[in-house]
Amino acid sequence: MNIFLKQSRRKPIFTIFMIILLCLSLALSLIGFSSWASAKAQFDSIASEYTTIAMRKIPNTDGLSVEKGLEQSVLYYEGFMAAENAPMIKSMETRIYLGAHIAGSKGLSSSAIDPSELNDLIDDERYSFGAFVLECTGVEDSGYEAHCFYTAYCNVLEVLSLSPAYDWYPEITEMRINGNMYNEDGSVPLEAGKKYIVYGTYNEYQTTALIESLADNEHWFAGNGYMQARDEFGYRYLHSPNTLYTSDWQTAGWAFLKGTNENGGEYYYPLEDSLPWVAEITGTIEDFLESEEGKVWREEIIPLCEMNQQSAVVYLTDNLDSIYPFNIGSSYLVEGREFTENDYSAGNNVCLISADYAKLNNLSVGDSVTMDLYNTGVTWMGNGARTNSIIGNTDLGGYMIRQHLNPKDRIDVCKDYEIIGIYSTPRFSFGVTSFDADHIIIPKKSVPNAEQYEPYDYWSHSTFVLKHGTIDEFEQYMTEQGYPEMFIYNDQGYSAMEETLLALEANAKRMMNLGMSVFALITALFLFLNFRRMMPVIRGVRLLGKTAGRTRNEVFAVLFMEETLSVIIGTFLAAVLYNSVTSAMLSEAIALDFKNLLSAAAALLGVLGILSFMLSGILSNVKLMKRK
Amino acid sequence: MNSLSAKDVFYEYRNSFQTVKAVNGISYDFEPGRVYAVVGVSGSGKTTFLSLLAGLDIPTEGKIEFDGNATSDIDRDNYRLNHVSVIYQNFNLFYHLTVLENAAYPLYVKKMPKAAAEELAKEKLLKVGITESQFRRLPNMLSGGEQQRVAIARALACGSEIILADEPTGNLDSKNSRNIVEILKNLAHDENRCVIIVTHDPSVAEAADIVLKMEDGAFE
Amino acid sequence: MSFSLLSVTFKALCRRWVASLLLVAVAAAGTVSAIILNGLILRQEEALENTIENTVISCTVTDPMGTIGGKLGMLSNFVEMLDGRRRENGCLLDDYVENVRALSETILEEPKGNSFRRILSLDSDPLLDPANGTKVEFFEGETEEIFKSREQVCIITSDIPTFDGYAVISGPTGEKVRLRVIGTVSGNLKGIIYCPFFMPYSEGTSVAFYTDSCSFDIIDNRKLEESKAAIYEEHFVEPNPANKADGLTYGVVVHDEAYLKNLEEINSTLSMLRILLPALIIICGCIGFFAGFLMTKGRIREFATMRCIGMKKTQIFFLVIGELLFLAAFGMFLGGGIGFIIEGNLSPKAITDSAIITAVYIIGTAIAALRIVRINIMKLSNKEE
Repeated sequence: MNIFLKQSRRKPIFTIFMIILLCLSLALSLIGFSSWASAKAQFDSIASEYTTIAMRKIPNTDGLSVEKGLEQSVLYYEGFMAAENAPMIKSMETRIYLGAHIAGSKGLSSSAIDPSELNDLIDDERYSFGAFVLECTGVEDSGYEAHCFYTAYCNVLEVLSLSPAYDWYPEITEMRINGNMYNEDGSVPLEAGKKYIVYGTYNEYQTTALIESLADNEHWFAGNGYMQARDEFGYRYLHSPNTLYTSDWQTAGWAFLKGTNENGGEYYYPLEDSLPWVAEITGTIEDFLESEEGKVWREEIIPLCEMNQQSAVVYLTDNLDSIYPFNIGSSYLVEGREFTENDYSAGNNVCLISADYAKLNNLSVGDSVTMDLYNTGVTWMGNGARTNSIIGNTDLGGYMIRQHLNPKDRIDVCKDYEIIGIYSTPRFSFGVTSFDADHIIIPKKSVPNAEQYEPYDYWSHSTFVLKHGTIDEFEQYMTEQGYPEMFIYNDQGYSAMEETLLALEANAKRMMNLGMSVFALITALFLFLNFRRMMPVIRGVRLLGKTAGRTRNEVFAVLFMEETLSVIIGTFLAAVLYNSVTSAMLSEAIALDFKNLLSAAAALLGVLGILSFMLSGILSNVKLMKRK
Repeated sequence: MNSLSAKDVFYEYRNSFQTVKAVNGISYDFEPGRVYAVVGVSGSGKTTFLSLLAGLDIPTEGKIEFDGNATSDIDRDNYRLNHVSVIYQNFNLFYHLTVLENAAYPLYVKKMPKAAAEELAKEKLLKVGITESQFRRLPNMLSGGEQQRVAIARALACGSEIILADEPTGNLDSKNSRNIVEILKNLAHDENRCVIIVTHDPSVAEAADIVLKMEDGAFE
Repeated sequence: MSFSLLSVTFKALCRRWVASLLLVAVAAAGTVSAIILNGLILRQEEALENTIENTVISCTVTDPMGTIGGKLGMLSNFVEMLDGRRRENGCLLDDYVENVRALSETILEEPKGNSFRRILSLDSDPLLDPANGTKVEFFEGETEEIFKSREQVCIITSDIPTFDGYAVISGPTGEKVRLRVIGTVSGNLKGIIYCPFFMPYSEGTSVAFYTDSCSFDIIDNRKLEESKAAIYEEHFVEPNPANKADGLTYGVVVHDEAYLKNLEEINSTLSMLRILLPALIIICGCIGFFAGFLMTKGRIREFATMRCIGMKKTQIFFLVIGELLFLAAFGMFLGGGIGFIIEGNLSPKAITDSAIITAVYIIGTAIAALRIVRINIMKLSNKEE
């Protein structure tokens, strides 16, 4: 018979009150703990809604000599490399661009939605490949210049392949061919009076006009996006391609050979195994395409043109919000949903498309697109000069350009992607801040070993994701490394939210500390009262010859029983109270985490148990000699 | 002179399980200047009878009269404060008060000025053999005999005519016992107080003027 | 009750320091709890208030369908409405929106093919974003503010020719305009002239032209709903794919989704606190009640002895309550000090709550004391309690 158990049963009110006292303090500290845990979860969940980024600026080389400019660029490159090791960096978003052939789709060329936005730089070699049957009417050859070129004047007999984006344009009857690809012997491949099949990048030159009334208070307008059909703008050009080869690229990227003619002029001529860009036709085009000579046109060149007309840019990401325009809000989701963590980690076959692309191809959320992926490579065009002939002297800064689809670059990934969201972005814009509407965004993991497709100058447009609140620290770090003011930062308004979040966390911490302090105090009280009551009995049984060990065990057994009871009731009380309060709220983050609560309760019981056991041990070893 | 008498006193302890008749018809007159010893086996009702005399409760039947007034009719708090003092086997001192404060406590309750109260308490403490060096000590630091003497000094300080002692020597050795009994005897004989001692110690009973044997709640 | 009795009681309290300390601690804990718990809500509300004030909610003007990616093609009159230039016409939108950013581009006849860009502020044109390596430098005494005016000034890229500090342009209408150069744009841009958005070609005239892009911020997030209602009242609509472009209305996308979502989250925490607070105060009160009760109840023997030597029940009762009042007052004072150190201030609500907690605590003691004075002192001779 445990005499201490009997003692506590003899005074049930005292015992019950003691248990109630302990369980109330337990409930208080468990509620404190739960709110702390949920505040932390909420903090994380809200903080994860924001992405703090550091984006490398493009070096400003304006007014610098070529050497100085290069130095500056190298410095920025080194700065980027140094930044990679900064402890404030959480991750790095490395841009990976691929190209996709989406059979049957319309590529979003510059003028596909609004003719007034026609821009060669955007369409060049991506959307504007075309194949025509022409009749040459005359050739002008510069012939003797350092870099020879020629212009061939032609009548268009038949359009074999052209992007539907040009459908809005008046019927094409005339065309000039701007060429720098000669025959191997230096002669111009076209002759007046002959019929040819050609392919190349097709350009339309146009301009916009804006008329303003100067009349007081009277506003009227005529045509932004209005086509001015002036004679000098009406020409269509075909540029002879010089980069398409079926075999590997030549060293240093040169895809053609150089010759010198009798005038000392340098000219280019294609490699032997490259695709022909022009061929003379003697009979009908149908007969030609059926013939052995026409086979390459029928089976390779025309499909190649079509494939590029139906292409899109594929952008692989692990973190949509780290992409600068999305981060600062100039690009944003208008429909559907963003990628989830699961989409990123599992590499789900889901994608986001732009509103313009959706409109052009009549797609909506829930549809699927079949993408055949090509590692086209990208080039940062440091010079964003519009090649449009009338506005050629404006430079809008750099532009990230994807190369054309080339069969040799196919990466053997062809699958359906479900459209889960539609974003809005400026259709085509310039600078590192741009994100064009022809980009289809997919999770990086959905393409096997996507890292191998990182552009060699990945550093030029990658963004660093910083830990929240470390912007100043990061800049300080970079300054110390000798690379000040090379980055710009954005935290999506996190700093405004931070105060609330910190208050939230501090509050929860305070609540938990309060709960724990009260718990500690009440535990002390509980033990004090219990031992005050038990002490005489402990003395008594020890005097009767019960060993210290047994006495300790009996005392501990009773205390632990009471404590366990308190913990059970207290946990229940806390769970019920907390749950009834939080279940009324909509937030998932603050919902009761029962597992957490139970482990906290178990921990508290453990602390109580250890304390009681130790105290029981100490007090059972009471000195039997009466104090004097 | 004040007298204390029991008239046909009965007393029962009741709880939900049982009723115990502790005192079963006692009538007796106690006189001042005498030492009475109430002896009997454990459970014979000695302590209960003493407690009734002390006015801790009133008899279920019959009455205890002090100066001809039944304890049931008078202010028993006042009675205990001024006329009767109890000395217990386990001393019942205030363990957080010093020896001096313990002895002076009833005087504080009587609202006697602090200096006067302490003067009186000191006198009584010296009288029962507590040395001045022990005045500032806490009871726990004293021996049992000394503690009991403090309890007696407290009773004396009250100036009570009746001193009731419940096994005052129960926790003490024989030398200390004799000492305490001697003090109690002197109180009765020199100061004309009525001392009633409940005991089963034959040596204590021997020292009493009158020995009352109790059995089953009644005097034999 | 005599002074000497009180002084002795006080001394006893000091000697019984562990118990007294616990009683003081319980009272202090109650007070600190009340202060901290009340502080939680105050602080959260204050922080939230600041967050609401400091969060920038931006809005983008789009076509009525909300999907435009290219040039907006919106008449500049709409920008005037947002910018507070149409107040006399009854358009008070600028009471709700601020930092209007607008860009309009024209290709110039002279200097030929150059880009002429009207902007309301430097962040109206993404090309001026420092990320693009662009740097704008104003001449002495000139600031960005001038872009809000109608003055004939400009900032230019380094390749634009100037004449005595003026750039000469001629638009599609052929009229030549002299613009005073007030700063330079350096970086990777060439052939661009920036001028104030509402600048007329000649003084005293007004202009209308097409705007390529426009965005703005909400002034007061506390009046977000009101502001949205004002924006969508006329001329602007909530974008919807079912809408039709008519050139008379435009869509405005309010980028408040994340903000509202997070606000809701935090508000739910706040309301949780508001509900939880009284419950926690009650728990604290109960803890005090039981602590007071149990601590007092343990002193039964002492009180019985007091009764035995003739103290009155009321005397003992008030002595106990007095003791506790003293300790509780001390605890409250201590707790108030600790609470003040932690919180930095004491709200009236916190003081009331801590007074309530302490009162409950004293009631617990009083109930225990009441039981004690009713105790059967016949049992005083019991050897053990």
